[in-house]
Amino acid sequence: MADSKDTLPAYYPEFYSFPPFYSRQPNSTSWSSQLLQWRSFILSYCRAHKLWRLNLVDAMDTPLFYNKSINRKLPLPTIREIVDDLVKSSNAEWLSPEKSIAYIFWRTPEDFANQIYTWIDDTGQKNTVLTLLELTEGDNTTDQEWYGMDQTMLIKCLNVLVKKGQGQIFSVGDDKGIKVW
Amino acid sequence: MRRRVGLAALDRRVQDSQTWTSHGASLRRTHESELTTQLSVFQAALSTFSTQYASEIRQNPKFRSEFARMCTAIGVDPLAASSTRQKDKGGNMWAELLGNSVNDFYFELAVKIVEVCRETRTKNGGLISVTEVQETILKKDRSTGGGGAGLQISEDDIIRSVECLKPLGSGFEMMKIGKTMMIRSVPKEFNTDQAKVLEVIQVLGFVTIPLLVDNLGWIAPRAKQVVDDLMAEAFLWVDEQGGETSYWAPCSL
Repeated sequence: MADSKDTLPAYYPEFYSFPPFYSRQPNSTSWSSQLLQWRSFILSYCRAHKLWRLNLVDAMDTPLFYNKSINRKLPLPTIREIVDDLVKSSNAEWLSPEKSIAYIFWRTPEDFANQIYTWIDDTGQKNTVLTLLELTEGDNTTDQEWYGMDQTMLIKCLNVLVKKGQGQIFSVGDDKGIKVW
Repeated sequence: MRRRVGLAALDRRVQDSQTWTSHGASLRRTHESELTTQLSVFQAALSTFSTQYASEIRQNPKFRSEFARMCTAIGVDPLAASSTRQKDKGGNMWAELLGNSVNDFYFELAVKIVEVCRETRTKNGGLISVTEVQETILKKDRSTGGGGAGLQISEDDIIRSVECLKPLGSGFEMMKIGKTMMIRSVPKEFNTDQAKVLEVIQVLGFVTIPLLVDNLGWIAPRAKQVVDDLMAEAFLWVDEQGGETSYWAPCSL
C-alpha cells in the first residue's frame, strides 16, 4: 500500500488503496467522508487529464474508478450518486436524463466565466469578437485552464457572462463568437 | 532523678513539658527553614536548568522526554501541576518554575493534536494512531514553513500532550490497540470485544465474520454484533468486493 501511495500523483486520495473506498458505506458519517473524497478526486482527476465529459460506463475501467492493484471498482450506481452530488454544486451536468454522460466542471461555470472575462480584459480584447475556437484552441490560450474545453460547456460558461449583461454571443460563420464589454 | 514530693513537683512537671515544647518548636523551625532553603535551592536549580535548556527542551524530542522522565522520577509532574492552580500565587507553580517552556510546548502541541483529531473525525470516526497524528502535524508544519529549524516531536510528546488534555474532560484518551498507541477523540469506551476486533485489524488489516469466529471462538451473531456496533460509530468501513464481506479501519490506513 505504501509503495503505490508514493508513486501516485498527489491528487489521488489517501483512500485510493483502501478497499472499502469502493463500496458505498452504509453509515452516513463514513459516507459523507467517502463522498467528499470521491468528489474532489473526480474533479482533480478530470482537471489533470483535461477531461470535460465523463462517460460513466467507460470511466469505470479507468484508474479513476478502478484500482487495478487491489482489484476494486466503484460500482456504477455509486458513481452516479456522486456525480448527482456534483450536479448539485454546479460541478457537473448530465448530458441527458439517462445519466450516462456528464460534463464535469472542475471549476463551476461561474468561475470559468470570471476567468475568461479577466483574461479578455487583461489582453485588451474587450469589445472585439472572439470565436469560441479562438478561446479553446487558439495559440494565446494554451496556458489557460479552459484551453481545450468542450464547446457546449464553453457556451454554458459564456452564458453566465451574457446573463450578467457583460457579453453577447454571435454567430460567426459556422462557429460562434463572443464579445464582452 | 530524685523523686521530689509536694507541690513543687507539679510545677516542675509543667516546666518540663514547656521546655520540651519549646525545644520541639525550635527543632521544627530549624527543619522548616532548612527544608525551605533546600526547596528554594532546588527550585532555583530546576528553574535555571529549564531556562538554560529551554530551547533544547523545545527542539530536541529526546532531551525533552528525558527531562520529563527526570521530573517524574523526582516526583514533579510538569503536566499534572499545570492543572492544579495555586490560588495564592495566581498561576501554577511549575509554570513559574520551568519558565513556561515545557508547559507551553505541550499545550501548543495539544492544540495541534485536537485540530488533527477534529479534521479527521468524519474519516476515522474519532480513532487515530499516534503515528498518523505525528506525521500530519509535521507535514502541516513543513507546509506552513514552521519555525525555521522545523518542528521535532516524538510519540512520547504526543502522549504527554494528550494526558494534559485530561482536566478538560473533553474525552481525549490514549489507548493501546495491539502494539499501536491510538488517540480516541470521542467519548466512547470500547468494550473488550470491540477492542479485540480493532486489535485483529491492526495485525491483519481487516476482519471478516468467519475470521473472528474461527480465531476468537466467538459465535457468528456475537462477531456480527461487535462489527455492526463499530460500523455504526464509523470506526469501520465495509468492503463488499473481496468475496467475503470484510471490515477495515480507516484509522489503520
